[in-house]
Amino acid sequence: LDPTLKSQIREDPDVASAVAAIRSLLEFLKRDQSETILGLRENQTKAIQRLEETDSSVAVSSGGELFLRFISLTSLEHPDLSQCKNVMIERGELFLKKISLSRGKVGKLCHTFIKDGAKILTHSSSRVVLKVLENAAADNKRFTVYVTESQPDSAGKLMAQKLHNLNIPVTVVLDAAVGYIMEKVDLVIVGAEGVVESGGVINKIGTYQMAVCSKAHNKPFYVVAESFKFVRLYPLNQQDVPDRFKYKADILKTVKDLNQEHPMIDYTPPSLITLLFTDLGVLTPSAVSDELIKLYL
Amino acid sequence: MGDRLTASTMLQNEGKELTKEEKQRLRKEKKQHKKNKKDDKGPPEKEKEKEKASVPAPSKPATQSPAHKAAPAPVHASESAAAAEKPAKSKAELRAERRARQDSERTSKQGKKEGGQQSASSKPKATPNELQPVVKRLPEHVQVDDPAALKKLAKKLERQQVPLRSDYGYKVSLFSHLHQYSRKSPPTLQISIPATVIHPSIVRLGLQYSQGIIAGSNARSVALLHTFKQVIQDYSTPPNEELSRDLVNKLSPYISFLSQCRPLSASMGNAIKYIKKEISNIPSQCKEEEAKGKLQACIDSYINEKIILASEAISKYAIEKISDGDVILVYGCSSLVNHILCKAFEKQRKFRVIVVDSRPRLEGREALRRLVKKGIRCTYVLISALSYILPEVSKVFLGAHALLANGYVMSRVGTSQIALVAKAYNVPVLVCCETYKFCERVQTDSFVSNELDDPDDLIVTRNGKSHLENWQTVKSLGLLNLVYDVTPPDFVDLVITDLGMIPCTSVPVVLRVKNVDQ
Repeated sequence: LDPTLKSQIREDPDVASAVAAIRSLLEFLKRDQSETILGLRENQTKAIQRLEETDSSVAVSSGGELFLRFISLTSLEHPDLSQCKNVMIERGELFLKKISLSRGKVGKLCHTFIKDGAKILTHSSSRVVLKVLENAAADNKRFTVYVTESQPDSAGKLMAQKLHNLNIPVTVVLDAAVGYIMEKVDLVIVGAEGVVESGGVINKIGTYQMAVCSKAHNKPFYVVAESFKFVRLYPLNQQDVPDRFKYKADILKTVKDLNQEHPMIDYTPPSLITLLFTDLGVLTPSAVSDELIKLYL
Repeated sequence: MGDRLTASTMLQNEGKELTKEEKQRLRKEKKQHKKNKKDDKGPPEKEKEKEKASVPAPSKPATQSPAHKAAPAPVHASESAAAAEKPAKSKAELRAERRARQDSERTSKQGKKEGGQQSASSKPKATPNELQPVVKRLPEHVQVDDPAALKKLAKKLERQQVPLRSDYGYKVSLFSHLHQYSRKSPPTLQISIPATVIHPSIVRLGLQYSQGIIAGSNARSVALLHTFKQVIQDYSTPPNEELSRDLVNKLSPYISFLSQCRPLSASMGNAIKYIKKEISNIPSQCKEEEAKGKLQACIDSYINEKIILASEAISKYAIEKISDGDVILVYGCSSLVNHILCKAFEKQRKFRVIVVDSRPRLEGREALRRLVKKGIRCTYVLISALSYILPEVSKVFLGAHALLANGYVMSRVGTSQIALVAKAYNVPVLVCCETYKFCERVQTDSFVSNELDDPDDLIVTRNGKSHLENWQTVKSLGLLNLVYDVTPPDFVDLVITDLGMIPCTSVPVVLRVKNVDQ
C-alpha cells in the first residue's frame, strides 16, 4: 500500500495528496481478498489508518473517510460478493472522477473575483490557488502576486517559480512581512488543507497571522478548497487541533517531546474568513456546517 | 378610487386569498362610513350595532364551524354592508362585492376539500384591531398592557373555569407588557377542593411551578410529562366522543392553568405539541385501554430519547472537548452541564471548576453541592467577580433554556454577561442544549418576551434590617427580577447537541432536518 501511494505522488506532483490517497485506496480495494462486506470495510479503514501514518495531513483523513462513506452508503443488496465489490469499485471510480474535476470547478468560480489591476497576497504553495490564478491570467486579467516564503520548507519559493512560468508578476516576501505588505494588497487568497465544521480552515502555519492582519486592514480573506477537504473536526482554538495533524508523520513516530517541534499547520477561525470557494459553490463560513451535514448524513 | 379598481382586477386573478383582503376592505369601508356619519347619532348607532353584529358573526363561525360555513359568512357581511351603505357605495364597489360573492362561492366549493386550511386562514382575520394583512397573533403573555388582550384572556379563562391570577406590585415601564406575579398569592387559592375541571395532579404541578419547587427547564418538562401520563391514566372517554379529539380539548384548560401559575417554557411548549400530535394521531377504531397504553408509551419514549439519552450523547461529545488541566467555568445550575462534568470526572479527566452564582436565586449553590459531592475541585464566586477570575479560565460551559431560530441562546439572566466577558478575554464559550429545546421563535433582545419573577425576592435582610421592605410605598421605586436573557450567536463558539457539535448559526438547519423527519 505504501509504495503505491508514494509512486502515485511521485508520478503526478500536481495531484492533491487526498486524491492520490483515494487512488491507492481504490487499488487496494481492487486487490482485496476478503470474503464479506464487513471484512472489506475493515480492511479499508485499516488502509486509511496506514495512509494517515504515511502522510499525516488533514486532507488524507477527510478524503479517506468521505471515500469510504461514498462507496459503502449505497444499497449493497446483491447476494454475490463480487457483484457488491464491483458496485463499490464503480462508485469509487465515480468519486475519483468527481473530485479530480473539483479543482477546475473551484478555479472557474473564483477567478471572477480577481479584478483587473488587483494585488493578491497568498500563503505558501497551493495547487488550487495556482489554478485560480491560472484561470484569471487566461482571462487576460492583469494582476500581481505576493507570496510568503512560508518556512520551514520554503514552499513559497516553489509557488513563485510556478507563477513565474505562467508569466504572472510575483514577489516573494518574508513571513514576517505580512503586516508590512497588507496595506498594499487588495485581497488575500489562500488554499486549505482542511475545512472544519465551524467554517474555519486548517492550513499551513502562518495563515492565521495573515487572516488577523487582513481583518485589521479590512481586506477580504478568501479560502479556496475542494469539497473532499471538509472534515468532521471542531477546534475551539489552536490548542484544540489534534496533534496528529500538526506535525509530520515521521516526526510523530520518532520524537518524544513535541514541545520542541514546530507545528506545520494552524487553525483560522470562521470570523476572520470572508468567503469560501468550493466545488459546491461559494459559501459563507456559516453555510459550511449546512454543507457538512448534507455530505456526511 | 383607483386602488379599488386595481383591487377588483386582482379579484379576477386570485382565488381564495381574496376573501381575506375582501373582508379587510369591507371593514375599512365600514369604518370610513362610521366616520362620515358622525354627526347623525341615531342611525350610526344602529349601524354600529349591526356592523358589530355582522363582524363578530363572521368571526365566530369562521373560528368554530368548518370551512363551508365561513364562506357564506363574508357573503352575509358583504350583504349587510351593502344593505346599510347603498347610497355611499359606488358602482365599482358593488361590482367588487358581486365578484367577492362569486369568489366566496367558488372557494366554498374548494373549501370543502381544503377545510382546515380555510379555517386557519380565516382565524387570524377574526381577531380585532388588525389593519395589515395576516399579522400572526401575539401570545397573550407579552400583551399585558393591552386591555383588549386582557379582556380576551379573562373571557377565555372564564370559559375554561381556570382562575385568573392578578399582577402584583409596580412594574418597571419597559417591562409593563409582561406579567408579574407574587409567590404569596398562588392561583390555587381560588380553586375549590376537590377540583372539578382541573385534574388534582395538575393543580399540584401548578403549585410546584409557582412556588419554585420545580425549577429548571428539564425538570419542568419531565414533571409535566409525568403529570400528563397520570391524567391520561385517569381519563375516560365520555359517550359519543372520540378520544383523539376529546382528550386534546380536555388538556387545554390544564395548559391555561399551568401558564397562569408560571409561563410555559420553550421545552414544555414543544413537549405539549408532541403530545397533542400523538393524541390526534390515534386511530378512531383503537380501543380506549389500548390508546391510553400507547400514549403512555409515547410519553415514556419521548422522555427517554429526548432528555435522558440526549444527555448521554451530549456528554460523549462534550468530554472530547475537556482536556487535562482545564479550568472550566459554569454558571448557575444546569442539570445537563452538571451531568457532563460528573461524567468527565468519572472518565478520569483532570480539571477544576469555577462556579459563578448570582442573586436572588443563588442556584450555583446547588451545582456546587452536586459537584463537590462527586469530588471535583470547585471554586465559588459571585458574578460581580467575573472579570477577576476569567484570566484563569480555559473554557466556559453554559446551559440553555431554549435556542432560537436565529441562533440566539435564551438562558438564565446573567448568561449573556458571562458570554460577553469571555469573548473579551478570548475564552471559548460552549453551550450545551438538547434538540427538543430548539424553537422556531426569533428574538434579538431580552425585552420583547421574558419572565418577571416575584419582586419581593430582591429584598434581603442583613443584620436584622431589610431596607427594601417597604418598597411599595416609594412611588418612584420599582424592583425588577428578570428571569431570562438572550445571548447573540457571535459570543458563542460551539453548541453541543445530541446531533453533534454545530456552530450557533446552524440552528435553523437542525430545525429543518427535524421537520423533515417528522
